[in-house]
Amino acid sequence: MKCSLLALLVCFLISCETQPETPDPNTMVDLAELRQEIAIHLTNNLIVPAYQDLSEKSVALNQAASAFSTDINEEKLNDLKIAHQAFWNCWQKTSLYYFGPIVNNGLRAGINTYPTDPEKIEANILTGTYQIGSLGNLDAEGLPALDYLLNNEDGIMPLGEFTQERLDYIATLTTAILEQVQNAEADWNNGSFKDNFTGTDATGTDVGSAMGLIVNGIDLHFQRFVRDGKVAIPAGLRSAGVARPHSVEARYGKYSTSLLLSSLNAYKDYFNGKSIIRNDGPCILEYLRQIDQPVLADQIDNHFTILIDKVELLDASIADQIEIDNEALVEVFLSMQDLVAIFKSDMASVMGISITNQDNDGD
Amino acid sequence: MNYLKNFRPFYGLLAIAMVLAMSACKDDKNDDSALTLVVDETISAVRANTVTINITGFAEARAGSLTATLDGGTAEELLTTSSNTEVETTYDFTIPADAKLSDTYSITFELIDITLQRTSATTLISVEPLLATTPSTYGFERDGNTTVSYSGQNERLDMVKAMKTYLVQGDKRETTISAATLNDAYANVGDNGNGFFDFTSTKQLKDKTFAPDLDNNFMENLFAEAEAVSQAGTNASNGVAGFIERENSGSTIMVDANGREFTQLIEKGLMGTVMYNQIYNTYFSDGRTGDDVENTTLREGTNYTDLEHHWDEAFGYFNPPLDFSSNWPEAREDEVRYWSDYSNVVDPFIRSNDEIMNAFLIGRTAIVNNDLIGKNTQRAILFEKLELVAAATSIHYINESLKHLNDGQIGEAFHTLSEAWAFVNALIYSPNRRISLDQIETIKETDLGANGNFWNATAVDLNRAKDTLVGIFTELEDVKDQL
Repeated sequence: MKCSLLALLVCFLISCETQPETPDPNTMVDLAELRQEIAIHLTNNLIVPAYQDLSEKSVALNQAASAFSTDINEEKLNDLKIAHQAFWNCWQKTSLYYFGPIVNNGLRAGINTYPTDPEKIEANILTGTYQIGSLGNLDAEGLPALDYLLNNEDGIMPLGEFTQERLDYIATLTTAILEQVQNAEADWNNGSFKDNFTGTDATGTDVGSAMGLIVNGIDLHFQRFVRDGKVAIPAGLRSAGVARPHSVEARYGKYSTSLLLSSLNAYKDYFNGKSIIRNDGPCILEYLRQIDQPVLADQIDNHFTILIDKVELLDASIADQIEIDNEALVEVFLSMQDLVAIFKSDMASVMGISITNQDNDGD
Repeated sequence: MNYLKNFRPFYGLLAIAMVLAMSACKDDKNDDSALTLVVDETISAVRANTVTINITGFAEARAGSLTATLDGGTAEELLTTSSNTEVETTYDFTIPADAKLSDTYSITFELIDITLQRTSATTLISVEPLLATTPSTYGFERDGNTTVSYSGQNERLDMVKAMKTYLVQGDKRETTISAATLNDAYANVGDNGNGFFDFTSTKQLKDKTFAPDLDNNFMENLFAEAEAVSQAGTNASNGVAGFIERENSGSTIMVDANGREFTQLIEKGLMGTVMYNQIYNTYFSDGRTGDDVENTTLREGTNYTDLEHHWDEAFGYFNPPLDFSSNWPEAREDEVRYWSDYSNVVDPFIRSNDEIMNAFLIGRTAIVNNDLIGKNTQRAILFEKLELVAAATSIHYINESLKHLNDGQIGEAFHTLSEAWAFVNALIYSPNRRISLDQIETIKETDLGANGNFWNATAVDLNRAKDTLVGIFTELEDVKDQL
């Protein structure tokens, strides 16, 4: 309501100051305004709270790791696993805003590169020589590495395995996560990007505009990290049909399906402008309705619902689902594929946004 | 007074004039009789052409002498009879063939009547450009025939292309790389790279390589390492050279123990150590495009002057389509090669296609016009803009590397880090570079991965490299994240 009032006020001011040339001042001016309102709502009520939540959960993860290392017992280990999963779940609700500092600051790679490499992890624990955050070490750190360290290959890590060196490595990883999250939060809150995103770049539809970044960010992130990373690669759709169950997210904790669900729900909320602190606000679907595309808006919303329903039927572990019935996963993939087509051609084109993502430079 | 000595016929005239002047004084109390001289004030023509200057004079006391003096030189007597009051004649002046566009010639005409009254008038002659407007495409002619030739550059670029194709076959395990084959191609043994090339050429890449790189066996070492990896067929890991998969394409590449891709270091390395090196240190040296380089007489057996040809050879190492411009159509992207290709990659952000193409066109036009100042201005612009393309492309590949790092794609990251390394390395070759050798070294050997090892690359380090480049090439600040 607040936004509608604001829009009305703007129209009123404009009609007072200058005689608008078009008979219907609602259309042109409102859309630019709406784009800015979306960027501001997205920033203040979705992204900033998401980083704040992630930051709090990374503190909790560190506290749980610290508590476990001073008092090694099943209860503390369980607390640590819970904090670990809570953080991982929260990451699904943060990582989808794929534009601005997060594209370049290495947060995604540092936190969630999978599959992780147990051999490298064991070697790191043994030698103590590794560089956190480096290209060569990404598959031995972050949440997937902790997943291995806390759950072992078979889901049970005996308490006796937690040597001081192992605990030190866990502490190194959780500390690195904390630092990376805090740096990324600062990158978002303190850099010039946020000001431009909600200010000078907020009203347009060109490549560097907020709306351009939002749509391109969805296109890239959804395809690469949701469709491919969580589904297509493990299901073998990127390896000539040969399934790669070891490539699932949360391989050892066996809760990859719930992470996928969190991700899809976060996407649905993103489109609906819904956040952990507010139930509604200016959003992409509203924008589509404003530009006379209510059918497309409903189509996207319904498609997410259908997709989520399909995922809810899967086994808790996508790796196990591959063994049980990979076809169900292929069906999820195809549904995601349809959604990508809707993003790319229908949505981007009616919004006047060019998709600039390129997968390969050709050589 | 000097010219009196040198111009003997004048003494005779002087004697007559003095007698007449004295008698005139006796009869007439008026000291000054009318004496006027009018000539064309300004006149212009292109070099080697003749201008005709109209001269009109009136000497009431009758003309005694009319002289023309070029820029304070020796006076030339123009008048053959001294009996007339009306003087009406012309004077032809041929602008020297080697006149520069900025040259002007001043001819002072002096009319002396028989009473020794003098009057003078000056004509200023300027040099017109042979080519008044800069063409929009790189085509220049003399007597209806082209003066542009850079076949040697085209052939060398073809050699790089053939070597790249061979290396990629090695990357994909379709062939086993031989260092000897690459060395023969590099030195173009037997005018066809010892059978490697499917064409013949008398040119080679090796003898155009930056001398310090040649001394350090920059290329030969890479050939040898590529051969070793290709033969061993091992997989790469931190500290171990070998094959690694590029995650997006699924094809493999050969990298050294530090993750550096041989194919990129060789191909893009040659873009620096041969192409940019030749532009900067050979063709844009004063020895080849300085003001003293021959620009009047044609090189024997050709239709171009040395200066024209050297400029064209620099252009040949940039090798764009002749009508290259910004917003280059996608449909014609297969016409851009090497440096023009990479200019096209960064063009949406820095308009480098237009800037570089215009500088080559304006500079070449200036050379046709013997406008050495204009030529020097454009050469300075080219030094700056070509360097900027390398810097912008470096940032582009650092950005790509950051994305791949973010995606956890090691193979893709090694590929783009190798390109970033080679484009930063290409900054070495300009004698007018804005970045210091120390800064280049730090980016290459620390920021792109501590201890010169790409496996150690971090987002923090890569962003530092980017900051260093943007700090120097400040015009890239606004586009640093879009590049």
